[in-house]
Amino acid sequence: MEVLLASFQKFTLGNLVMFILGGLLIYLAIKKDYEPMLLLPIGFGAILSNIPMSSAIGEGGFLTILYKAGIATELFPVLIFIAIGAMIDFGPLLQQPFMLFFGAAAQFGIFMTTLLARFLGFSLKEAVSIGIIGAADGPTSIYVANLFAGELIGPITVAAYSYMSLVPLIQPPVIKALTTAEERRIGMDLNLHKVSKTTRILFPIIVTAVAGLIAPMSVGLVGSLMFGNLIRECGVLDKLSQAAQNELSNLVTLLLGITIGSTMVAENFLTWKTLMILLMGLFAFIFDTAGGVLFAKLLNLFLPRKINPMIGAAGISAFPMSARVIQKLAQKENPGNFVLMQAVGANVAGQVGSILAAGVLIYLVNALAL
Amino acid sequence: MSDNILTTLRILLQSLGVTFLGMIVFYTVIKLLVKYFPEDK
Repeated sequence: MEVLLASFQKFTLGNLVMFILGGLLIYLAIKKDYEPMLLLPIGFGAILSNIPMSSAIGEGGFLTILYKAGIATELFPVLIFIAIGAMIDFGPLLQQPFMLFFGAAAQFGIFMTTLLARFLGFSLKEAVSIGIIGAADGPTSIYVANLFAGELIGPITVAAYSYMSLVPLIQPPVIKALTTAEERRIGMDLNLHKVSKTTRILFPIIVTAVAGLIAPMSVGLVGSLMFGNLIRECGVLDKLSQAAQNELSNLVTLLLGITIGSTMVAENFLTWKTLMILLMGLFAFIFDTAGGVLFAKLLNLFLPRKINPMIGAAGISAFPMSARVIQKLAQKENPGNFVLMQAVGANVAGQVGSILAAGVLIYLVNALAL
Repeated sequence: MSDNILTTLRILLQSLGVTFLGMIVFYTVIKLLVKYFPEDK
């Protein structure tokens, strides 16, 4: 009898809190539709890993095996990037390459949050891992956290995906606070030139080579993203492109979520650090948005034809949610205003910008450690 | 590893600078691609 009750006897208040938290993530996924593909597996993984003496984790546990195989090796984030690359249409960016600069400006949150984390006492490696939540890009957050602060990977991932799903709530008040109604009504050019197939094929190849030369540590992420995109654009690998967009994406997302959830063991997760990381994640998204908007406003001081500054906010890489939010806001001010193509351009630029910024940060921090 | 705020600031500024530099390079690449491969034949 004692053997049968052993698990009950080891059940702590912390485990109970994690059960509730896991349940909350599952609730948000199902009822509120907040990133359900990630939050539901993460929530269930959290429950699995907080059952005392759980055979799902620890020596021989399938979640620990998955963690070692897919997260510790960085394999899952890289595979997800192949899938994302196959899903992304870089056309709007190739039509308006100027949007690239918003993809850089909207990484401002990464830098501000890293600095804040340092002031709050986190080590440089931990601070950079927390700051990367501002990349608004789950796989990049996981990739960097695993390299620099493996013990924080749970809260960092939860923060990254939660705030990505909350972009429609986070961005509008920040944008409205920084822009006037008149600015939000600015229209954008609708006559965009077509992009040739050759350009679409050469773009991922050249970007990989150039990004690799600028920041060699970004090759894993940029390379896999652009490989996925090359499969999409080459025109002869439709089956592989569809497989990357559907089967690969679904399977890896499923395994990634539940594996991340398994890192949320009560004694590691229920700490002040977790609470601070969750708050700093919000800070990162707010400063990303502000960085993009303010950069657009700065450019407007010099440009003869003004840009709708809201487009700057789409430079965060929460794709395609952010672009949709911007379009919605633009139409709210002026029902005839159509800025979606520019916003999508900035949004995919944010994908490139976040990976590049992460790669550069990894390189610089590693160089410092040598 | 010298792990202080000044070092962090230096790394962040370098990173921000290189990210913008990267974007300038990508911008140039796209402009050249669009110029030399304008339309599908």
